[in-house]
Amino acid sequence: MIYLSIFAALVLFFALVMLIARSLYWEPDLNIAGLPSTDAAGQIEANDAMSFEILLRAFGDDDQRFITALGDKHVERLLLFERKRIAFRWIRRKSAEARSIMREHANRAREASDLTVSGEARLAFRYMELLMLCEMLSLSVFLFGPAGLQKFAIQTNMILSDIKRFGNVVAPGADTVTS
Amino acid sequence: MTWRKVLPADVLRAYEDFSSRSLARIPSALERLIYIASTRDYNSGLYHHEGLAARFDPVAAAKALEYAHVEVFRDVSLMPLGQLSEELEKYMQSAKEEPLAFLTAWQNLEPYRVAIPMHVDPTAAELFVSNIKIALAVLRYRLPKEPDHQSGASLPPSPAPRSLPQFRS
Repeated sequence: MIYLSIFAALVLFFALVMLIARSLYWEPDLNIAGLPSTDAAGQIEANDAMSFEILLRAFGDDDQRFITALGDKHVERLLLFERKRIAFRWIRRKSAEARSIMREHANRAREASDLTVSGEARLAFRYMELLMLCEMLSLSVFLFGPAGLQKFAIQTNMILSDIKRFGNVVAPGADTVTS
Repeated sequence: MTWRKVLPADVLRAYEDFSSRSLARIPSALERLIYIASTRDYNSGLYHHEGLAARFDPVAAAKALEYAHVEVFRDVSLMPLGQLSEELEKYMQSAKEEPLAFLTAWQNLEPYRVAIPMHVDPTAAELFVSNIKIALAVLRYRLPKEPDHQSGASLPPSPAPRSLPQFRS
């Protein structure tokens, strides 16, 4: 019983940490419209490529090595703060894209006649997996910063690509206009 | 880049002309970005380049500038911090301003925000702003430190100490 209580307390603690982390890093200081609607396919492809490159930069440790070599604590703190902000934004964006795909899929599924249980279960499983990864990634970023979490982020990105493929819809730029 | 596949032929020709005639002469990506952003009207968001509009259809020319802007912006926003700091330092030197004044203006006024294209990935825009902020902090850290006023080594001799005026109660 004690172990169960400790486990429940830990879960609640991490949930609280996640809530605080989200509120701390919610700084939508840019409100930029998404890409124009013309040439949508090419732009979505370009957006995906860009998103992946942002992932590599935000979760990579090249910049951190450069700043550490500089040896100024103030700049190091600034880098950590800024990278965390970008990483949280990227994670929010991925979970928003996934939600958008699932919503779109649910709308299409209502009218579809060729649904398969295995396909739907697989999609639901991947979606849950993605949400869990996003939460774990958020927690890791909050606790340790994004540097070195590149593989974790790439895995999250891959699952989202799978969901896009399974859901058979193109994600309509869920984060194009930010709050 | 992927976008080139979907560019109409006249826009692509204008873009290639602009790249070879104008952009190729500008040595750094950051300077290219600032140059292209300067061809955009702040009020309307429309691009205009006299030479390009004379050689091509004005609409195609404006589109070409917009695509060039997005492409260069992508390069700059994804640039490693070390390289961005170097490019910013070169730009600061070319601006012929006092480094401290330049850094103070850029850190307070954030003029680099006008270099963000209108139709761009919002996270990329945030990454760009974030990287510029860090690069500015790097440059400020690298500035030669001001002389230590506490040591008094290079200061003129201080006046003789004066006692504070006595007030009658």
